[in-house]
Amino acid sequence: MGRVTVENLVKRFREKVAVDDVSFEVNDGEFLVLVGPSGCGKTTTLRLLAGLEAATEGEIRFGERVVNRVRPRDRNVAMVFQDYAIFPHMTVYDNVAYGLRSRRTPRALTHRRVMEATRKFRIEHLLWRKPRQLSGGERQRVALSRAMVRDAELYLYDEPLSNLDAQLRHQAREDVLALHEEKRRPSLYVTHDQSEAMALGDRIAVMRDGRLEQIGTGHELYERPRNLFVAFFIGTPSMNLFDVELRLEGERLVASSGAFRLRLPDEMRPVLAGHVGKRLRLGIRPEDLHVPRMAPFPVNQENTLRGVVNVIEPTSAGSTTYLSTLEAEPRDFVATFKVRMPSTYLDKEVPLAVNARNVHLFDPETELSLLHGA
Amino acid sequence: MASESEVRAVQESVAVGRTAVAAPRLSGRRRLESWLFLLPAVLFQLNWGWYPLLAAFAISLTNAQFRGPVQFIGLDSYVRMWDDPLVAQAFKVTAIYAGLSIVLTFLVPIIVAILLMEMPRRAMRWMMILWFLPLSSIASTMLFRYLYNAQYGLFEWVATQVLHLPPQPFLNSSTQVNFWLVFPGLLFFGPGLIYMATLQGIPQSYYEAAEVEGAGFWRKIWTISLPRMRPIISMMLIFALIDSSQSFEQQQIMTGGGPGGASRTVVLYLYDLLQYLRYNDATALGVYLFLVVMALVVIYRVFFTDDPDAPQGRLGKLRSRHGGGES
Repeated sequence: MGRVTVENLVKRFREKVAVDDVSFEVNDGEFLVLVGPSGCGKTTTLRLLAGLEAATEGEIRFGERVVNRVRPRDRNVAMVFQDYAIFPHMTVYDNVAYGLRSRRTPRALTHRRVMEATRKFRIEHLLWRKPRQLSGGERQRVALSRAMVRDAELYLYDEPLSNLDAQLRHQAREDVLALHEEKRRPSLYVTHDQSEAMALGDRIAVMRDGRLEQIGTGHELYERPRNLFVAFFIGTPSMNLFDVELRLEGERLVASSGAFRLRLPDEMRPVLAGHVGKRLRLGIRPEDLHVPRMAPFPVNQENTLRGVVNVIEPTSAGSTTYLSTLEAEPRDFVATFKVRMPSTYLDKEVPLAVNARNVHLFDPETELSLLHGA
Repeated sequence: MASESEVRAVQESVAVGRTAVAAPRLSGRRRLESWLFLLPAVLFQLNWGWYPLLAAFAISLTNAQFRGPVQFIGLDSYVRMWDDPLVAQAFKVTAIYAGLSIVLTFLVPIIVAILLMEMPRRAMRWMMILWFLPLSSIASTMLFRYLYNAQYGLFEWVATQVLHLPPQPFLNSSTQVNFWLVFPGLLFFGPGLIYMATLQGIPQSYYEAAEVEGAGFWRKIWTISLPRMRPIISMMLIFALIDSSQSFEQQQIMTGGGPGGASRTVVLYLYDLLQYLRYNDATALGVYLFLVVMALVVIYRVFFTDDPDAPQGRLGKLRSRHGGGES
């Protein structure tokens, strides 16, 4: 019953289309993350759900109730704003209690709720302070507490972590999840940071130019991106993309570019049969490039890509290496290794083994994935 | 040619010398410069601000005669003014006038500004043009004298012909006179513009958060608009208090203090005393007014903090402890 449904939602600001025919649902207890580059319409979608903007077309339902024409105050949603929107002239207590007092909740209950929420978010010692006396992280927890005390039908988060520094952001993610665990109501979280989306979301919806590109679990989006945009947007570092030509050499299906010839697994042949001889975009995730000696599959001429090492960046997991292909016009690409790459490899030519089972192929015209269709 | 180490040693000694000697001299010059910049303002303030103020105190303690020797008479003028029934009446009139003027020309614009901001943009623009017509105060005071005229004034016509009331005395009635004197101030919507500018500076997200949190129209005004306007309201209140307790021109032009002293404010009475060459009494009365206004402002400043975002004062803490319910 707690499900929130959005159907064919359209929002136009004069001639500009901000949200273009978007449909999705957030199930009870689900944490859905809307992610996309800035200006893609994700925040507008969130504001439409809160009732702060009126939908041009389409329908928004909370359970069975159509709420298109319901005012924000009657929708019973809780929202955490990007700038927190906590009232600077009120104490922490008054800020957190604001929603309950607006709804004429009995004083004793309000008090209990405020105490519980502020204790949970470790700000119970700041109750009589005003926001100016608080740090950024504390203000953010006031905003979370204000959502926590409510029994809302839908919880909305508008980039609540974007004003925090990296250290605090990690703790704040935990706090957001704690709030969600406690409430177990539909939650919609907007962010432009795909790694945040991957860390938080039960499911993730990727938006671009007002359209919903793909919706699914983090795994699905990562492993089976439906188009070039999702493939490139999800994952850090981003997927490497190469222009290749698909050839059939005897029984072998080969993706060939100026820099390499990659044999594709035989099981791809039925799907790709119609594209032989065409130019395609080949996508290889950085972690599917291996040091040949350590590759978990047999390495030979047909799955090796050679490159020159430009930069080596040590990471907690191993190293991120930036290379360029050996072509007349070299193309940059990235590989992540589970081992530390010694800096002696800088400017050297190295062979890399490609895990051909995990590559992606896209039609350069439609940008749709040839392997992971709808 | 000097060796490299020598050069470095010289540079170091120069650097040391510069920091050790030059710095204080520089700051000394800065202090002199800043005083030079302040000098004109200080001179103005001393000459036209403090000198008359102190002179008034001095004059009020003398017999303040143009001719003959000036004698020190102590607090005689103060005692005479204290016992003067017209002074008591003037303070009463001033209090009534100030109260009315604060309600009508201070509170009303706040409400109007808030309501204007809620209007659609186009309507708001038209309303602003209507409200914020720049008018000369003397000219419009003259105009109102005509409007209030009991024989041929426009208001009289409206009262008798349109509303079918008995003829109204307007400025000739001791009960109505102060209201009608304040009334034109409603149209000089000066503070309204300032309030609207303040309202426009409130982040939209506060209102959005309040809406999502279930606040209605009045609650938004009460919990966001008004608190955010507090510093401006507070400042305007002090201005209104000072202004209205010194009001003079309207009374002088429209009623001359009548009828029967019902609109004779303190400053108007002070002016009357000057006409009778009672300079010592007039200055003593001025000092009384100064003390009353000063006391009001000080009391106000002690009990109300301007800054709504400042850490809670004693009063705020008390209030939120009770309101917040430390059960």
